Amino acid sequence: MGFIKLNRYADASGRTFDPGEVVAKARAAFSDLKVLPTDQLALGADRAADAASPEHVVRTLRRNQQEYGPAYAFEFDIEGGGRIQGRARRYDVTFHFAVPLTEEWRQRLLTFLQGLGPGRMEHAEESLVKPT
Amino acid sequence: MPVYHGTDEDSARSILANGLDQLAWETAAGMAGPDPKGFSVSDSLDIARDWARWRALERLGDADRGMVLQADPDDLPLYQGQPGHWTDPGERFVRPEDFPNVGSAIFQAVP
Repeated sequence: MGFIKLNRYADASGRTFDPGEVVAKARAAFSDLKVLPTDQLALGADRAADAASPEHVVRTLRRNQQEYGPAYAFEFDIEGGGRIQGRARRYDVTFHFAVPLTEEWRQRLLTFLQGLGPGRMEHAEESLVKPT
Repeated sequence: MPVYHGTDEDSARSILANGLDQLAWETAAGMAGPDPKGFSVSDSLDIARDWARWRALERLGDADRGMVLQADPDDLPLYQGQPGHWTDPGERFVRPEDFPNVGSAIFQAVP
């Protein structure tokens, strides 16, 4: 399990991403890419409202939606099994993966993110070696 | 006065066992993603309890599977809201780059 992220939050340049444009580029770069149908931040806020969550919880989720959204999610399969999930928001573009990536796929994801322009590249991956 | 964080029980147990971890934080947030400013805590136990119920419902399908954690604010590298990093009243946060400084002994479960 791991993630690779291009992050522009608190970037002094003030640059942001256009999530729709990022998804269009991802669609061109990765075959059989499926885009989830709705803004995931809006979906969370709607669900909280529908569940009669406290007003301050819904208000914060709506504000997150306005500040950080939209959050467009997509996914695609990789050869050899496994699936990569992607997310594009105003301040970050992230790939999540549940299986260890081959070096080729790691490079493909990095190349895609680097092609989106400047930002901080962040990544973390679960160690396969568990402490005894 | 302690500060509080409400979340689902799986995330709470991860925090108790491992401290703050960016991979766990990213993964738990799902496809909406985490709050990019960082890990939020509240001065209000009631607010934390509300968030625990929502996160448990959202992530585990059962609002009763939430947990509230507490910590001494002096043990946390906390930041206040400011222009560009909005916060709710009584909310402060730990920046993701400071997560490695918050280990397993910092938070305790609220009974």
